[in-house]
Amino acid sequence: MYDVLVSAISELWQLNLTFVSADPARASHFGAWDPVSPGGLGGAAETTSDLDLMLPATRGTQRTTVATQKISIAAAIDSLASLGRDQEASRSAHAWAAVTRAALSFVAAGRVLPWVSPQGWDTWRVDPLDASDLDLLRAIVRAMPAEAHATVHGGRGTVADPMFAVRAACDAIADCFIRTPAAHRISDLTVFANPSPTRVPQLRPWVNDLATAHCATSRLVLRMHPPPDLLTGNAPTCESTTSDPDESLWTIRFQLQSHSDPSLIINADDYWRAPTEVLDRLGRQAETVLFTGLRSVTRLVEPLADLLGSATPATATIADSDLDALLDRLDDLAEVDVDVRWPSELVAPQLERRLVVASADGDTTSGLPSAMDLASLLDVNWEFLLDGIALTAAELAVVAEAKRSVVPLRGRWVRLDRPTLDRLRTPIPALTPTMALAIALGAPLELADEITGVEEAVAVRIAGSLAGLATRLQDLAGEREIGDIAGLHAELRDYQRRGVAWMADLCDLGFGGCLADDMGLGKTIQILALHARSMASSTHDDPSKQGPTLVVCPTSLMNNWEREAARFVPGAPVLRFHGAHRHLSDVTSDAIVITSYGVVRTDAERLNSVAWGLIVADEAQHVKNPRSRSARALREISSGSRMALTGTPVENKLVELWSILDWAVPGLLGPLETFRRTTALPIERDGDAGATRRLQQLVQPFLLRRTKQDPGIAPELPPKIERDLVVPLTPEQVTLYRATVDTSLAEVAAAQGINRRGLVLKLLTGLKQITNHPAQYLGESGPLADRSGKLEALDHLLDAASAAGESTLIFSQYVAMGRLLLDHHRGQGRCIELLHGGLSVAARQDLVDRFQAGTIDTLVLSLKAGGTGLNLTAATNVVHYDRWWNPAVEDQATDRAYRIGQDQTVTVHRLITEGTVEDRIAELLRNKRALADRVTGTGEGWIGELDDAALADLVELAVAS
Amino acid sequence: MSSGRWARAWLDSIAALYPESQARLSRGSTWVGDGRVTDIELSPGQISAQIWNTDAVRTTLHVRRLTEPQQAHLVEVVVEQTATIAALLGGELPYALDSLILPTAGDLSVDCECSSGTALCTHAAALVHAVASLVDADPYTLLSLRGSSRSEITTNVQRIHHKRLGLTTVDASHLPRGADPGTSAAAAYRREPQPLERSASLAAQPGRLRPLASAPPADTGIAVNDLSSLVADAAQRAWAMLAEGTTSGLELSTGSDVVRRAANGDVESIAGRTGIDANELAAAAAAWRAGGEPGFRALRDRWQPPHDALTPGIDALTDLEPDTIVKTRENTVTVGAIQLRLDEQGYWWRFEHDPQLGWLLAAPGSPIAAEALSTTNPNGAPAPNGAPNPNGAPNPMRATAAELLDNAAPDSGALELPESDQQEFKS
Repeated sequence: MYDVLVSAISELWQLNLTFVSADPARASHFGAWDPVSPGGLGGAAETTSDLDLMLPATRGTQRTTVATQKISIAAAIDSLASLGRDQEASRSAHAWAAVTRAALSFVAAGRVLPWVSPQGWDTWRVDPLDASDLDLLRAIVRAMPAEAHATVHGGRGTVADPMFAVRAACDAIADCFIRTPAAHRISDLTVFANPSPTRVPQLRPWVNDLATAHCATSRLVLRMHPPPDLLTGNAPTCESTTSDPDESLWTIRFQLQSHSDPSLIINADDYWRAPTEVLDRLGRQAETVLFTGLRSVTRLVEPLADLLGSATPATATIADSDLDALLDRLDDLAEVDVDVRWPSELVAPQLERRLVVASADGDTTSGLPSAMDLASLLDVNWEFLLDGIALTAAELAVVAEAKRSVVPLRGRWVRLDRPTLDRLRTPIPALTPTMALAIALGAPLELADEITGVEEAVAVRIAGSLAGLATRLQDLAGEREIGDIAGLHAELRDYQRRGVAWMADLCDLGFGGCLADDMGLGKTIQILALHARSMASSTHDDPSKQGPTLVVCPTSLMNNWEREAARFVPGAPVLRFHGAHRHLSDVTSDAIVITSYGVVRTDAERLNSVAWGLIVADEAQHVKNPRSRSARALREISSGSRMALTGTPVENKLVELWSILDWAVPGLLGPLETFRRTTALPIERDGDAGATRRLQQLVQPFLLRRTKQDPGIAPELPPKIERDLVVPLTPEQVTLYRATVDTSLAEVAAAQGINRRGLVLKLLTGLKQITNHPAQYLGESGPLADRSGKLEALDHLLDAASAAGESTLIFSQYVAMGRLLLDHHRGQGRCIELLHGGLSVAARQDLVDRFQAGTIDTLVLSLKAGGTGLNLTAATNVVHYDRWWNPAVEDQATDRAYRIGQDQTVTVHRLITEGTVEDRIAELLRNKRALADRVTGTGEGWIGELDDAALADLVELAVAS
Repeated sequence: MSSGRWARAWLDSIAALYPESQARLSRGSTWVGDGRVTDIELSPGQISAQIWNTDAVRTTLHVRRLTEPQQAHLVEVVVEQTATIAALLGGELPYALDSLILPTAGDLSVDCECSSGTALCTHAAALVHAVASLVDADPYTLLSLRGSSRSEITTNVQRIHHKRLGLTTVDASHLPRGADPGTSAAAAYRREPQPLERSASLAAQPGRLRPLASAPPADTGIAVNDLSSLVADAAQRAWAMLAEGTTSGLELSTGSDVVRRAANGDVESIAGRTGIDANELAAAAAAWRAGGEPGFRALRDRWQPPHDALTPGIDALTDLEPDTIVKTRENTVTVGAIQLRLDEQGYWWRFEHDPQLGWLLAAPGSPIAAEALSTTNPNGAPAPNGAPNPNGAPNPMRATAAELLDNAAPDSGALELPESDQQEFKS
């Protein structure tokens, strides 16, 4: 029953939500109503009540009776607190959700006070709020639509004031929140703890005392006017040198200053003369503030003990010789919120402090420190400023030795109140080098006050080579292009040169980063280029800086890395650290070692025994959960630099971003809990613009992402990018494959002529089906998961494609395989359909239309070569699940996606199982154009003419041991 | 020994009224110190108490209440001088009123059950000193004794003071921030709301109630410590809601809320106040710490699972202790001092037997019996409040929605847990 109503409550947030205050506050409620038909709520609305609201009418507004669903505050709190800005809800619901979170943050800080409501009930209120709290509430008020506070107020055409409604709602939320079901059973309190209201008029004087003391809207100000002889600009002395009593008298004028508007200052004089005006502007409480403030002065400052003797105290005098008595009590007066103001020529504003985070010059040619050196070069210190200029050592000595609460500095008196003195003694915070760098890049620094424990922001100045380093990092921005690299057998595109240069610069400085280019833009080749560069430079630079490269990737991609490494950096030894007999004994400093996340999980310690120059985490979203064992194991392996590769836009899920960047640049984003609280939640739940900006600034040097649509990239891309994806076989596939080969080769050897040809074709078909999926070969409909290397690779591809919002076409020669793919991916929740020859023309056209419209993002096509003209230009990815071995036929299928009207680059993936007949033929096609030219028809006829030995070479399984 | 000025003035005035009773008066002060004065009842015009010597007697002091003209005169005196107005507004009882408030001849009479016959018996003397202690804590006690009150005198002083000044504003001091001025509806609808791109800031940990400038009046029975712990609990829950996404705790039943507090607080004192057996509450609190509300339910609820449901638990325990016999009863599977319980959501919970407290939940639950046996309790620290279920399973055991959607029904005011709630703790 509860769960049904929970979901019913969240439906209510689609309606308009109006706050209705009540006395006591916890009896307030929200009214949900339908803007389209305010007169009646459809459906089972159980607790409706009528509410008079001002609604827009043809001319102005009109008082209307609206049927609303009542939602008590207690029922609403949980649901509203978790209503994120990305969820569907009305504007007023979002506004009240923000209010709920604000109110909870005030309760979380303990900013509540007991109160007696106007009708005399016990209640809680949210007070006092400081300037930044009020700022937040004002921003919420600006975001609040009129319907949120549209209850009828007194006069004609008026509704409740939004700020009042927000404050009343905060009070109501706090009043409910504090009273948990057993609160009054557990404490001795009945009032303030139990839900039912109690009349407590006798507590009014006490709560008024609290309000005066803690929530005063104004304060008493003593404005000091010096005796005439001091106005010549000399600093005041402690002993008066003149003997004329009149001339050595200071005049004190009493004033009242508003807290919420510090520019509103009224002389006490005016209160005695025209109290109505004064109290109208400052509030009734200002009267109490005046009286109690003056009383405090009489008690604390002996020479002023009689100032309440006057019937209308507005000014007082104090002899210069008695000034000590006042100066010594400034802290005590501040404690009761009495402020003493001095002429600014005589008394300076207070000292400010700033943390100076600096570093000495490093050893690199640019003078910039590298990441490793930063620790020893870092220098952190406090500096103290008066009027923005730092104090010299001599001045600091004067301050440190001061016996009184004012010291003479630079021709004026400077006040040293208790907070300032505490700040002078704060120890220097311990900053790690990465923290210092983060601060230099703009991350805010907050220190907890030693006594109160409250955190406050600290002003910071960056100096020395650290500033240069921060600037350098921010400028990296992927502008520089790397030149040609010896040992790299590839043509780099311009944007790839920029990518490699960016990575090289980061690694030279000893930092890591995340390359987040779209799938198909060539992250692999950029990394291989980086490795080639370090190989080339290590021959003449000091070799200890370079080291082998470790590539960690999903198992299904290991083959690919090996192939591309062999192809593009043939001079580099490539080793696979995988399988039962894996070892690291042959690893040289120019080697590339490829391993999987699974192996890292178990062998992190072994891997850590090698001095890696670079570790690459491919498809780094595999370690997006920072608490997973893979993520933790990966962190254990140290290296000179770390690069994470991912094709998904990590900036959308901030905890994933944290996980990836915390591995690549440890400590940059701080601890996860703090990051969640100060950055992830404000951005994802509240859309906080300030936090977004700060995060971008901090992360920008270490994250490079290019998309296929980027204006700089798109022209460089060929219309079609082709990649062969070599995938492994599963053990089941290996067994089936070998068995089939053995049996069939024996049969073939025994046959001749047409029979033989037939047997060869049957063998080929069988092998193709096995490499596709054992279920296809065996005629099963399931289970499908974990049985085929191609299917696993396809899963990765489709994940990456959907994360990037791209559409994909999958081609297979077999309808049966197409159906298996459909079942498997539907089971994973994808929007996928199958288009095959058995469908009517109309049905096919419907699928095409839906694909082009984006309703389906993945389409499996099983069509014989040829087929009617289909326009499938919405696809940017094409997967050939199994191959036609005639390139022209394959291209024709591909070209269905790439056509006139296609303005985006299409990436074509060809799935090839390793060591099988597919692999061999693909190689042949690649290397021997002559053979390719001979191929006609479906391209398989020539295989039938191979002799037994050649056939065996072609089909036998070669699996890496 | 009362030391405040008003308290001493009170004692002096009594001494002046009963000059022969000096010795008895001073003895009275030791009686107060010895705790012989209890059950003090103060009302306008009199104060009485139970005084214990060889036997208990009820003693009453009658004080003549101030007449209307006398009260008006009080107000006049205060309004005359800014100093006295300031003192009043600052929460003090101005000393200028001493001769008007303190009793003089004829104002005071003693009524004591004892048979001593003297004008001021020792019982009364003790009561006099008890009054002095009350006056020390709050001088307005004297004013209440004479039939007035702080709010009455403050209101009247302000009224006359304002009249003299010519002040004409409406008194809105009962409203925390003044009166709602309202705003034009048409203007409100015309304004285009701006996107909110800010969030409430959250400190690294929950805050506390600020030190209050003044304590609640003594006769209200409100202790500042109680207010502080109430606010501390609220602050911790609110902080966890914003930082960790837990729920408010308002949806819990009364019994669960008691356990929640006990999990984070002093089990003994909570048991004492609610009348729940301390050992039962300790076990419940331990369950909450290990597994939140679902863990507590696992401690409390018994049910009969279907036939094969207990098999995974039996297997897991058999693997752990191969040669011992596994006992099953309802939803529990036990081997020696280790027990696995299956809840209705299919989660297994591991309990370990404590000689004093019975079965204690040892670790968070798991849908896999073997895992429940091997996980350790990560929380030595207090557990999160109400929810979410640490294992992520949905939590069906909440107060019915009807209770939430209505406003809270008035409480009967009873301080003891009703029988139905007490039942919750019998496991």
